[in-house]
Amino acid sequence: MMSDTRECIIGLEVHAQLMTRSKIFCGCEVASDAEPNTLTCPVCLGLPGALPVLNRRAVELTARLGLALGCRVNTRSVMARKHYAYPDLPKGYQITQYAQPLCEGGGLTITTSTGERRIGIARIHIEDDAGKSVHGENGSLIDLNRCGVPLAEIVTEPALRHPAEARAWLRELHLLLVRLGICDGNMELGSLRCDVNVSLRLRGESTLGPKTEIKNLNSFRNVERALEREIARQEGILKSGGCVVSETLLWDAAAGEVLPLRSKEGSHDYRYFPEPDLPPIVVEEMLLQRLVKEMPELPAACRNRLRSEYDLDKQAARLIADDAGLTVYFETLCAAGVEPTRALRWLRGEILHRLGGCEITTFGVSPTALAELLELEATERITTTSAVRILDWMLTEGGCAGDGLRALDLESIAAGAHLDELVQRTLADHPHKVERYRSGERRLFGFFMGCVMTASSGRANPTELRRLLAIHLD
Amino acid sequence: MRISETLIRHLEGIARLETSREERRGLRCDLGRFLEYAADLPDVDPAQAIGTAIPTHLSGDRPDEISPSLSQTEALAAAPTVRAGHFLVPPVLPAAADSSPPPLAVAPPVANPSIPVTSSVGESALTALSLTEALQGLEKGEFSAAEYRRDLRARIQQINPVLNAYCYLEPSDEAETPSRSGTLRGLPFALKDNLHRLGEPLQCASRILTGYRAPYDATVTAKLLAAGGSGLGRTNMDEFGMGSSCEYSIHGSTRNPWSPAHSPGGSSGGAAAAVAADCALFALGSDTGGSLRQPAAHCGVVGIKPTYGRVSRYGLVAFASSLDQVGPITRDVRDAAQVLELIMGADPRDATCRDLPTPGLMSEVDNGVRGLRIGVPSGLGRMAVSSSIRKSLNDAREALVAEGARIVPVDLPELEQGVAAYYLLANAEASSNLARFDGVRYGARAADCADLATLYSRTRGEGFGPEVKRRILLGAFTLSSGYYAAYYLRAQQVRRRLTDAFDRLWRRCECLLLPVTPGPAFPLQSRLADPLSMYLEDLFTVPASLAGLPAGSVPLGLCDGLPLGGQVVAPPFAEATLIRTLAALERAFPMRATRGAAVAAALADGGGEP
Ligand SMILES: [Zn+2]
Repeated sequence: MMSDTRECIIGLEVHAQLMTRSKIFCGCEVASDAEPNTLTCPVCLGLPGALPVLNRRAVELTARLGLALGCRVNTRSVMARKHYAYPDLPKGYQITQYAQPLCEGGGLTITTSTGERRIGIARIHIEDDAGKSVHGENGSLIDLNRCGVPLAEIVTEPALRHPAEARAWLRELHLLLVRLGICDGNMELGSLRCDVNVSLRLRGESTLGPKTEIKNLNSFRNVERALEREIARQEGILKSGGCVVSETLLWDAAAGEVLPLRSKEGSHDYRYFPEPDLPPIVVEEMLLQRLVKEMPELPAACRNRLRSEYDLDKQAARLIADDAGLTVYFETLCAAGVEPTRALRWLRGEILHRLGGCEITTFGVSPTALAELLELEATERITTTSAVRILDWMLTEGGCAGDGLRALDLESIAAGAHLDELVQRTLADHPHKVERYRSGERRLFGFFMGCVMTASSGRANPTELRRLLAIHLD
Repeated sequence: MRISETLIRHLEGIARLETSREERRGLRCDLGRFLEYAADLPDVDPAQAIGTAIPTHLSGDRPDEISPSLSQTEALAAAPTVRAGHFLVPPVLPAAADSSPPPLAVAPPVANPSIPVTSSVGESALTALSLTEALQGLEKGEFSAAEYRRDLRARIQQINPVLNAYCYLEPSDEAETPSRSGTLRGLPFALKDNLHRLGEPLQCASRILTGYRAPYDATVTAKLLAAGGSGLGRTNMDEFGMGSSCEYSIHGSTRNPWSPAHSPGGSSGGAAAAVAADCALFALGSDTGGSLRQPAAHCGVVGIKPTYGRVSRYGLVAFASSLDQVGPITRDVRDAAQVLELIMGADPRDATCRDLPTPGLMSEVDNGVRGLRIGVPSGLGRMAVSSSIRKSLNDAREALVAEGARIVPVDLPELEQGVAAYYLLANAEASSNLARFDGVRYGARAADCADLATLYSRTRGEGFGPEVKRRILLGAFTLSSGYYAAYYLRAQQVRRRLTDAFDRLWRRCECLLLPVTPGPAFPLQSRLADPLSMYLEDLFTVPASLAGLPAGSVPLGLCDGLPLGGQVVAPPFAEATLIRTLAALERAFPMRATRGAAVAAALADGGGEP
């Protein structure tokens, strides 16, 4: 879709709702499902005389994110007022950070078709959310429950070059936010919102052209689609000799179009100045040390470790590492003696299939119980088919693998008269096929294997069976 | 500096403020004059400019704990229009393009509270008592708090029609027996019209807060109530604290009890007049650039602005957040010490309020100033100060020496830039703090607005008075892109330098003696035509405000029958030194008898016309 002569410059501004219990400047509860205007107080209603007091948990969560992204966490940062007029902004200003944000620098690496790229982060700051307006013909209805919900705003460098990169980056950030317990990541409910800005320039140029900003994209896919549409639109304008106007756009997902935002009254002159009601935020070295100590393994590091420690391929490592629950489950299996390849095969196959999209933590068989079962399979006391049947028995009955084995009588038939008898009976039932096998149609070996397996209800030990069949057929 | 029509319209746009053509012409002229005055500020090194008031003050966050919210009914109670549990506002965009806007709907004037006028001005033994004396009387059983209250209300009803010191009196409940417990034993206190008291109207002397009732108690109100105080009424002020004469009020001007033709000063003019006329035992007011000290000086009473961060601002309607402090106006220094002891201290609801030990202040009153090093400016230089003020300051110096203090001549050239810096910074913050008054959630709303932008600009245009509009526009200018560095940052730099100069000063002396005002009380109406002349009234009070220092005003004598005040400024959190020094001056210049007689005489004249 892009011509070769131009490249696009994409930057993201991501708003992540911080997982605090109370709002950023008052004690009102943070909840998304309350009746309108039932989670407010003098502070978040912007009543005269009310004052903000900063929730220190919001600072901690944002500092944790900053550390995870390799940012510099400033020991001293300053809140600032940003003024604009809107009825869901009760104070007439947002309390955010401007000149001195909490975190600066850092980056996050993504893997795309062209390899790995680290996308720099310009800054991360904390701020309060606005309320919600529902616009109608005869007026707007204002609900201020969301006023004062804490947000971290993550601003990337304008370093992304492709819509797919933007999507991949946002996905990676999402993973990190959820893994660190900073944000629940629910994009549909608006816990994670993304604005993108994009401009085009001729390859080789170093200055940035006029950019447009697309607001409030609520899914990974919409980020990619909106960028694709907007790049095509800008390219069309430039090709026909026109100029792109710097403006704010809205993505209409249903129509698949970007639309100009209905312009708000007045020019944007935000009149930032340091918030006098709040002292500077001080992050003590002690806090940073504690946060570093508490930091869980990050997804990227986990992937690398799984690859080297368990010899997983890239895809498998991503599958396991990107789900914290799955990582724990997998590593517990391995620690209990299950071979990594066997553990991976079972997780990726039977287990994920049975989960049907649910978290592994909800799975009815613990990793240690599963390890016992897989041990039976590995030592060929049971066949894979039997193992699957025992797994289902364990899920419904709740017992251990050994109980399932006895209850279902699935001890594999390894040797002795019984298996030999089954083999002989099977061969006797198919004299013509035996004839054909002996005249060179070797692929019929599998057919005989299958017949004996069925006759043994899947309990026949495959190794032993193979040996006996070979003896009787040759 | 010339303010172009385009610029003033831009400022009106970002400040959401509609003005008439005539108003706009006046505003262009006033802003231009002030900015010319402010042009003398030194150039700035942006790296050195500081943002917040006290840069070393770091503290005051809160744990992540949930506290109860208001119910939906409570949240929506004051809103002009609601629908289905929501605040309701007109559509963001007008329904159809209308050619000309409808004329401004003028909100009905707010009537002054009708307090019956009684014929003669009586003398009441009880109302003339100081707080300390009243408490002793209660303890000895000489009278009850209810009797005191009855006498006080009777005196207010006699005198307030002349003074207009109170804009609201709480309904009297004769059956009510005020609590006899606590430090205050049920004695009443007066609140400035910008301090919240649950359930009572609060208006900041502004039309825009018509009908607003406080849904919570300010921390200082709660502290006085907890100490056994009882509510009484609200005292008049300049709208949102913006003014030095108590004339910019929706409730009308307050008069000076020494001479009703004169202004009591402002913005806590109602509080000072009430206390001076024995219409309040004591009052709480607020001081942003002198609003307690200057009216106290003009009314011959005591006014103290504590250190920034000493008293909670929660529930004080903000004018300039980095400067505002709540403080007392009382008839003597001991009372001020007593009230300060009751209201000082940390508040989890105010992050700028410091968690420091609060000193006992009452015990400082009789400590004397022997050995104390007191700074006195070695000449007030080219500052416009009246000869009477110069003389009273000399008298004060001699009195302090007589008590054993050592006078240290000091030079503080930084004082002179204070007014320009103060008005730039205070109004920048004011333009931001007053953005919330938009007619959506509480207060008055302009009628018949078809769209949101009109609702905002007309509600604010009708709701705010001329001085408030002037300041909002000046503040919006100071913060707007293109002017921020030249004005806001330069003013911050001046503030920084002034603070540093005080820091150096405190190595040489324990407190500083200054005038409160350049001259005595001025006649009503005399400064209204020239806003800048009103601003210069604050020349000696804004330095302590900018540096966040405790400062108090105490009577020093008379000039042509009007009181003159002296100001003491102390280092941060040295309220104890402040009280000691103010008390020494009070001993040297007793004002009580003079004030009682002068006020009685002035009020017996029937007030006289301005
Ligand atoms: Zn709240």
